[in-house]
Amino acid sequence: MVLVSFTSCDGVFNNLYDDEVPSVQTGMSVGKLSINASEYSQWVYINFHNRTIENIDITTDSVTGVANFTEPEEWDIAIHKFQVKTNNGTAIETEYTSIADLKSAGKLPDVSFAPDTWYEEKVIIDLSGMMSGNIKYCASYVNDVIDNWITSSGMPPTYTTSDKVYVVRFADGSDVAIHFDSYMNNDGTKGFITCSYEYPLTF
Amino acid sequence: MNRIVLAFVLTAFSNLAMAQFDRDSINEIDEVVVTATRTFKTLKDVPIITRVVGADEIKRTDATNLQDLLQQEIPGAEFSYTMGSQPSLSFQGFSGKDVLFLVDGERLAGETLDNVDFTRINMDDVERIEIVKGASSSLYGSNAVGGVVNVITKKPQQPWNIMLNAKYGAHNEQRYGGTAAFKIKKFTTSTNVQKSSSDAIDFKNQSAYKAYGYNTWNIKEKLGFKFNKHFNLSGHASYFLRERDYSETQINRFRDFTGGLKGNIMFNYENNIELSFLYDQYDKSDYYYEQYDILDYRNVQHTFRALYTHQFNDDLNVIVGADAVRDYLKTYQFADTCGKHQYSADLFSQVDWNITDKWNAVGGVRYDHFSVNNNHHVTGKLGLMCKLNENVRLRGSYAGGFRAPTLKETGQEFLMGGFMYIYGNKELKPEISNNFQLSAEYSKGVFDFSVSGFYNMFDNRISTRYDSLYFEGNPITRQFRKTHADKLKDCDKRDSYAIYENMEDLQVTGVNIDLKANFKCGVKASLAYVYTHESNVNSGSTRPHTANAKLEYRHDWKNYGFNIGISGRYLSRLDYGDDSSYEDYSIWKLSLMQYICKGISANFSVDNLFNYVPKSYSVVSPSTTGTSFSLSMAVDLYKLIHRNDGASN
Repeated sequence: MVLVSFTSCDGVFNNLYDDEVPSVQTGMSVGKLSINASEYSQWVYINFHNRTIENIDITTDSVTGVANFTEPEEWDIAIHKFQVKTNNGTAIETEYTSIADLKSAGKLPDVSFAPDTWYEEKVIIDLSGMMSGNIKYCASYVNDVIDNWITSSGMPPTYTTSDKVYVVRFADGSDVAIHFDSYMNNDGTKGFITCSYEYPLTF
Repeated sequence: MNRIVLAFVLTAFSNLAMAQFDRDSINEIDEVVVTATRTFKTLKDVPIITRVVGADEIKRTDATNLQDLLQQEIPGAEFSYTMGSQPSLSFQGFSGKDVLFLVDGERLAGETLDNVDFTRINMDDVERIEIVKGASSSLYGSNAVGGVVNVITKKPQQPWNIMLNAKYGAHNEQRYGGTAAFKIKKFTTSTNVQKSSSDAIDFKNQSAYKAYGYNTWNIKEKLGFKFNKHFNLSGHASYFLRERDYSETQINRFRDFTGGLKGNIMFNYENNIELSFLYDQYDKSDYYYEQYDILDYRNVQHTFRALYTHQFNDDLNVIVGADAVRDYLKTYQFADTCGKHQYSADLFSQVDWNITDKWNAVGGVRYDHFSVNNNHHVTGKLGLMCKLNENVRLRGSYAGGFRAPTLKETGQEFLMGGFMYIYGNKELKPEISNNFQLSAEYSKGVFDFSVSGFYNMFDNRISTRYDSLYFEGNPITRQFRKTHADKLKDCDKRDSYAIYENMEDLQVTGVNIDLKANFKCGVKASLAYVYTHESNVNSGSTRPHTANAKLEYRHDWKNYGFNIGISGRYLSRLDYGDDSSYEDYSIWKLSLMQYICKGISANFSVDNLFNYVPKSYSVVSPSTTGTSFSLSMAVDLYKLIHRNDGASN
């Protein structure tokens, strides 16, 4: 059979396909991010201006408990588990469930952008002492508006995502639209976040 | 309103039937079919009732693909958009995995939620469709549990031909297709190309279900060469691509590549051998940002077949056949990324014996072996037909069916939709069905009437059993956890999970009634009714009463003809034991087909004439948004040029 010699047993035309979608696509205004924010002990810093992602360990002074790690020189937002902070930015939640819908609306909703809020005990960095009542926090800013993208209830927790598009306005006045698509990976590990974005957001 | 139309159809039908009762038969009982016995027999001689949808009927339905056609022609066939907005078949107690779909006798690789990709089968290239209800595993092996649908594609008939067609319909549905076919001495070639597309359909009154917009391309090349009267060779190759607009940044792609070669050696009138090889590869990928194409599913099937036919005399025919299949499946739903294999082999034989002028018997047996879990199965069949006289035929049959556990059902291990783990089960046994049918058929003049009863017993139905480790569980789920302890040992943090299991038995019983008339004055009428009773009313999706009716009138002049027809389908209410139910409905279609200069046909259709819109959409509701219109046109250049040579429309 002539055809047999042309067919690899497990399929042909493999060159039609790519191996993976790069997590950050340089030069594209729209894209998808895959972030590993599953560690309590890390912030994941995202820079939409030059499309970079960096995981940085959160360390604190053993005596004072004050954070002593160095943040990247330039970053736009950072994610820790499900919490999000901005670099002197502000944010709104839109009514839209896809960036395409927001774009079709032609303009941003008429609501005020909210800055981050400082929390002494919100960002948990070590849960190992939980049973003895000793949870370690790292004081930090968190943006309460974007914090609504996922909520949990009950024990064991059931997670619910808002499915809304968020817009963050950076210090330089540019905007990014973000939609959080998923909060875990195929193994069910929470904190592996996939989100769609458009930066800079234009209408 | 629907009842009035139905009454009108019935009245017209019975009046005309009575008036023209004594004319010669011009119905389709002399049509030759192949599916029920794997040998060519006329419909009236085949011991298992076969339903045929011919090329002209397909043309009048204006169906683009198999899905469109089946729900218009087969009582109880219902396609809905289920999980993931994928089309899913529900058919008289069966789902997509219980009905074996074949193209020219060959299986189709790939599935989504247990349904083959119906859009792969392009109606433009179809000569006829044969439907055999009930089990047929003694001839076709796994999956022929509830029925076999065999799509027979066109072969070049004229020295040359070029056919073109186009359609425009609701939701910006567009279809453009063409075939170029040549028959030069011993050589035949046929090239068929079709492109179809549609915008997304948002169903009214809710919901999670929608039909995404799509673009589909079908390209097929068939070649044939007849070396001499003893040997001919045919080959085909095809490419299929469907793109589904999943989101702004993501397109789902479904691709298929097939290649096949078939040699037929006819030693003499008594002995014939057919050898064939088929390669079928079905891929699914996601195309991101018009830049990255990521493969996440691939099914590759290699099938080798040998079929020997021996004709002892005019009254005794024996076939012996064997298949060897290599099945490869790679999917994101497996824990490993390199895919899984299954090897299967079978051997089958069938004896077809005209015992006397009145009696015919067909008996068959088949052995199948599958490498996963060393599953094997023996299936048998016995069919008897008695021609009481020229007009009355009685048939009785037993047929075994089975469905081997698939690579998906034995090997899956993935998180579905971010909330539930699905585990395959290597211990699964094949599903088994035992199917009994009795039928009586009466044909006289323009009139065909048949009534048949069927009883299907299913054992070992394969389905998923749901559980959650957060709950204490009842005795059944506790036993279930014990049995699958190895699978569940790592999943104590996981919210819920499901494992494939052989489930409880199921019985499906029913009655088919078919009534047809084909009058010389140009009127054609048909009515098909099916009653189906499923023993497990709590989980089934079977509507007990379904009926299809059609009334057509055709008239031809020298260079112009028309066919006007109204057809409808009725599906009764579906009640579940827990007080939930789905409403009954009927959908009617009015079509006007015009034939110009014998080679041009134009169709105008109004579908869902009475604007039925489901109150809510579910796994058993029609994917309609209300009344819609479509226009189509086809040109047959050979018939157009030779219109005065006696070619029919």
